[in-house]
Amino acid sequence: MHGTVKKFAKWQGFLWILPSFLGVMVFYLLPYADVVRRSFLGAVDNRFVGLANYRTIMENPAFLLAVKNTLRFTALCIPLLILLALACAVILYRSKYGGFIKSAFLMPMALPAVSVALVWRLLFHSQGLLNHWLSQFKASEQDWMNTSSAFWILVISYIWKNLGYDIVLWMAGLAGISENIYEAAKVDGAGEWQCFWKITLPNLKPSLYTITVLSFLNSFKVFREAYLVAGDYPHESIYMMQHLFNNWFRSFSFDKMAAAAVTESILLLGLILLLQKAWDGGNEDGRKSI
Amino acid sequence: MKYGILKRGAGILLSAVLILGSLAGCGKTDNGAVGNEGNSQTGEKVEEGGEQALGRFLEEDVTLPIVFSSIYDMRKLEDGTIRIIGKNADDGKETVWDSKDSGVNWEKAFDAPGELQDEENGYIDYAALSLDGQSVWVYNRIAEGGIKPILYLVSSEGSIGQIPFELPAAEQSGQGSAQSFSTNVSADEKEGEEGAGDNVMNRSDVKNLILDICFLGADQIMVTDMTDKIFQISISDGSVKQTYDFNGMEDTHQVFTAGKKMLVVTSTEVLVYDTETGEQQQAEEALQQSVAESGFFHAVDSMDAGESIYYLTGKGLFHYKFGGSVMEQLIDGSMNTLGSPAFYPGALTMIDEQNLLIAANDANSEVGDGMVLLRYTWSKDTPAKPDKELKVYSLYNNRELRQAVSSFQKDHPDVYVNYQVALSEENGTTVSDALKTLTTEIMAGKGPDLILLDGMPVNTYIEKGILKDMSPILADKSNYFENILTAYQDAQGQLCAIPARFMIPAAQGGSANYTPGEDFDTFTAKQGILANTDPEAIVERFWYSCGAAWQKEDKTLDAGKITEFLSKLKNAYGEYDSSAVDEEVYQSISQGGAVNELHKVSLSWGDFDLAFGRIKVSTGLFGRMDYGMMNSVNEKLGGGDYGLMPGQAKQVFVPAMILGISSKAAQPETAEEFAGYLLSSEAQKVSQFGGFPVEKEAFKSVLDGHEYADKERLVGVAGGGSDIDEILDYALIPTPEEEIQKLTNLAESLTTPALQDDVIKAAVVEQGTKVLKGELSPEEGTDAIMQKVNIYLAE
Amino acid sequence: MEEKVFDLKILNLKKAHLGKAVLWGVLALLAAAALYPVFFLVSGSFMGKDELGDCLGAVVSGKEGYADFPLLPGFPTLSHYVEVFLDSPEFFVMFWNSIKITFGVLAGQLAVGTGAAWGFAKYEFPWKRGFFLIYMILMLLPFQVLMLSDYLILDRLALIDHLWGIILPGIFSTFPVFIMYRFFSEIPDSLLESARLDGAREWQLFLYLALPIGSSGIIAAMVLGFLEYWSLIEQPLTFLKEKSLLPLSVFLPDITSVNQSGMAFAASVVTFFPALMVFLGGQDYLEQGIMAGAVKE
Repeated sequence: MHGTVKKFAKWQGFLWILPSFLGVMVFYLLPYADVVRRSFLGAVDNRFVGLANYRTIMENPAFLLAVKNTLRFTALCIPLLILLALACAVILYRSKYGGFIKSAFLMPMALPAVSVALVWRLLFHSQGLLNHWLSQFKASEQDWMNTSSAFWILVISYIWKNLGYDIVLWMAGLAGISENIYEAAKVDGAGEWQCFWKITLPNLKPSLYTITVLSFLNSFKVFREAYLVAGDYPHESIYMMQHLFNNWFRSFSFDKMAAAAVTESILLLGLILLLQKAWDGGNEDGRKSI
Repeated sequence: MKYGILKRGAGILLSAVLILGSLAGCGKTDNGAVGNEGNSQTGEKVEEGGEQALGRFLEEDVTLPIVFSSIYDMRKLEDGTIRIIGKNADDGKETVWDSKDSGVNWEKAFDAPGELQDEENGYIDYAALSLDGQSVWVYNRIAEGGIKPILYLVSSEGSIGQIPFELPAAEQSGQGSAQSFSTNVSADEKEGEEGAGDNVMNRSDVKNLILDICFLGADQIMVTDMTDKIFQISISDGSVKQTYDFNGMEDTHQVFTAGKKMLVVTSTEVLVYDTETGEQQQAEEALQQSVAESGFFHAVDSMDAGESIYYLTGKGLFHYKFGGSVMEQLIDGSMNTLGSPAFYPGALTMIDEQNLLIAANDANSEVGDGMVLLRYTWSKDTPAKPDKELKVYSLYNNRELRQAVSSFQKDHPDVYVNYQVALSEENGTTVSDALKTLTTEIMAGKGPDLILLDGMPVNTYIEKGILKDMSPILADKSNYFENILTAYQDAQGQLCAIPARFMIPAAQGGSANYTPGEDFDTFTAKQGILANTDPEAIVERFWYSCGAAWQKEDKTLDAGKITEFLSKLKNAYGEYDSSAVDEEVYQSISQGGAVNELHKVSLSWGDFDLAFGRIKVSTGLFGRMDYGMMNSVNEKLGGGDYGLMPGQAKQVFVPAMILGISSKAAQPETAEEFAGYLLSSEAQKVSQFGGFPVEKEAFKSVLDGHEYADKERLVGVAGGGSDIDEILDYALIPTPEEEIQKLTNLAESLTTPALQDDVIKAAVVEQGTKVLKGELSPEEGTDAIMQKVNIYLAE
Repeated sequence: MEEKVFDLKILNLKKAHLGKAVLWGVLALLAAAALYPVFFLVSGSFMGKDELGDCLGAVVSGKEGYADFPLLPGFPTLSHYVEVFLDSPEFFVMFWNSIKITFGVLAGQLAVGTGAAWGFAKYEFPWKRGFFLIYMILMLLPFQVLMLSDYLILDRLALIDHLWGIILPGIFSTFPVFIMYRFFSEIPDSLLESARLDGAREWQLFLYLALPIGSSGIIAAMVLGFLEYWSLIEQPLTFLKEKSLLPLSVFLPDITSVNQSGMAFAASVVTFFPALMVFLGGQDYLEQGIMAGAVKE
């Protein structure tokens, strides 16, 4: 009797999560379980096929290409965005016009994807605005979305859209650093650079985790614009996992799709654990990411 | 801290303002949306309730005594007789017929009196019946100085007198004059009947004409004229009781009467007038809404002197009591012929509350010029909605299928065919989105039973086991072009997809430029042979005749063949000259979207350009033979001929109206039955630009021009292009036997289905267009195509 | 020797000033580039049909030459807005659907998500890390992964073709939990303990401590949620078949025809405007405390 009460008491905190967790169960975990189940079955006939689907996707060039592109994109974009945002945040922080410029950077984030797609189409069309400007400088024109430039357009549009938000996040981190530390350092004769290296950066480290996770999350959203501008089969350099999922979906390849989805979520899990570990390890004060 | 709270408050306030703002802005639409939700919920409840509502109007054909080429009016007279004024299709004479038993037996009442039969000096344009059997006829007398309409009153027994009424001359040739010939013809019909302008007249002769008449009670008539005026005239002395002026109304309108009320109906509203005072009555909200929802009124009748009306729209038959708040749908057009696309009702006669007759022009009827009479009878034991719902799905609207739906439902009152078209001009859905939705629905078990696979990845669907074997429904294939029917047959002899129709990639040109049967190399060696055409359309057309040759054993594409295709096509095309491609035509192509999808690559698209020398060879998909027109073009070219389109693949055909039954179909038997019907001679004979039938008898029937037998007519068609003076004269005559034989042999010789893959096609058309325009070299074009296609094929 | 060092210092200072100016210039340029597409849409929405046809003809209808686009319209007109607001009843229906979806989701997240975030932040229970990990993975999983299974489940619940089919999964999105969790965990435990000692119940802690102190985090989550659900594309296209239920975010008039491109611009601006307002109004909350406390202690 006493045991059960104790057992329950242990779970008391979970009551706060319960309503949310029930919904998550129904709308996310249940579908996810279904996906896992499907990854071991045939596409339409629901025959058990073991790991065959996993083997198929590992040999599937389209899957490998999509994985490669997605990794390449993330590996390039996220550090780039984070560093760029940090640089901007440091410059803008405590400056008079900082707020104004920050708002300007934030604006793209509020732009709906369809509107972005509209602008992109007009800019990067082979007869579009960008080529128009280039032609005035006698530069050679290109069909931007149909060459490997498409990848860089995607990178830029990702940074364009998310820079403002990341700046805001960094500035929040900067705001958290107590002025006293700086003053103490200055008294000790530290220069601006020294302050930055020795005080600012280490103190921003806790923010890095959140910023990385959020930037990572937003990197998936760039697919919307890519899809709206270039359709189901864009240039091979921007052919992402979501394109593949979409196309598999249309052709009833649920077997491959489920296997790829499970693979992707395992990768995600690994990535998050890695991030958490890096973060926890670097935090001497013992604060945990969770 | 205080400042923070203030700011926070401002944030919340802002969102509140946003919500309120949208509430104020959308109050009205919201009501509508909520109403809709409510409706759909009640609808669900009825279905869930399990108890099926009983009672439905069933449709049957009424055998007419003679074949009518048109029916001017139909009425139930006071004594219960049904009277029809119609034009005999055989001799072109107008006669009046009576039926005492609600349409079962008919006897001739009288022929139109002599004055009206004077074909030398004029013609009958309209006639209308009153409840007591009298009729008023509009006779257009052609005389010096133009056409003059005369109104004749014909008594119930057939004696004639003139109504002394002079139509005032039109003060100015209003903008409305051009449209005036087709007030009660919807835009659809105009399109379908472009060749039928047999009484073309010089517009300058026309001063003012009557466009419509109808009775008001027993002693007055409403006359609509070209200047958008409506005269309310006494038939006894021709005096004008009221005049209604609708000049300036942009919409075409039609006039109906019910008791003492006059209804003026446009495509957006119904105006109700009191004919005694001539004043407009208060708008009836429910009626307005009905027009908005179900469209233009085709015909109106009343059984209670105008207290309530029955009216027909494309959505079915409705009943509305004036002053009421709802209209009641009595017949759902989607369950019978009323909803058919080629069906144009002309007259509605309510016999009683449970029986009614509808006279209509059915463009697909087997009978004569297509006038049919349908009777609808209330059957209280039939379920209100048929118990079986057969879901039919296609990406593009298919008129032949729509037609077949009506005929099939007529023979199967227990089946409701729910035909859904995914893409239309209005909704911006893309093929990709539509297919995704289709996939989810099929997987959820809510998908269609029968699928028209045109534009879909047929082979993928077959491989994935989405489609059921259909071979059992075709035990005997001898009546079919088996080469085409079995285009999708697999190694085990299973037929998971069957093309019900087909098109032939063909070319037409003068002997100097084109020899039927020549191969791709010879053809494309002639530099500039395809000049002055739209590059996009050219690539698409030749994609059909070449694509099938590109596929290698392992399903990948042969890059060498594609380079060859692009470079040879570029040679044949020559230099791209943007000014030569008529911009206007180009615009209309790009705006036409899904509906015109096949039209722009059809062979006949190039008729005028070919005949008047703007292009040397016309190419395209050949799916309907208009022999007279084709012959006329060939004659104009001096020894022109048609044949297969030169291409890398040989003997190619393009499967169309490809039928497939979902392996997860809820109604597999009914789907098979319907598929069988679609392949039957009867359904195959319906032809509206959707391709040649695979059934041989129907193939011959749509080719031979039997409808023109014994009545030779010469028709002139003006070009739709830049030059309005270009006119091609051609005869509507039966197709000569040797021509039918030639095309039949051609059809039988076809062996290779065109590569049907929209993803590859899109890549080829996109890059190929750039190659033809000179923006890319053939090699670059090939690389771009291969790059996309390889990803696609690797998936 | 001494002098030289001094000189170098001055040089460095000058360099620094110059460097700052250059940096600011670069930033201003970047900001201008970030804003350009916004200007572009706004100015396009005021251009007449003819002007748009001239400017964009090359892209839209295959005309020769290049598209061209002046920063300001030559002949400003409101006609496209008139078209959007007065002549397209479906636009209003879609606008209203967007409102319903967005605020439905946000209200639900407020009710469900705050509690979960609070629980994760301040309570201990077995496998907490595991649960939170699940939440994070679900947050990062692309929509396409669960598309089919989602559909099947929503279909089972009879939510397909219903706005609730979009709203309910949105309510249980784990993203706001993640954001709000960050804010709640900054509330010092000592504060809670002293409140407990004063006899406060757990729910009182939540209502009177967590919500007010974490409110900027909640608003931040709501602002981000607004942006997310205001421009939702995949879900409505997959789960809603009935056209009258579609939200504004999928309203993209066919810009391949000149006649519609003006309307596309105007519709874009109208869609953008509420998002912008919410964003500008709420941007301060995005940063407040999101991790400020992390270093304060």
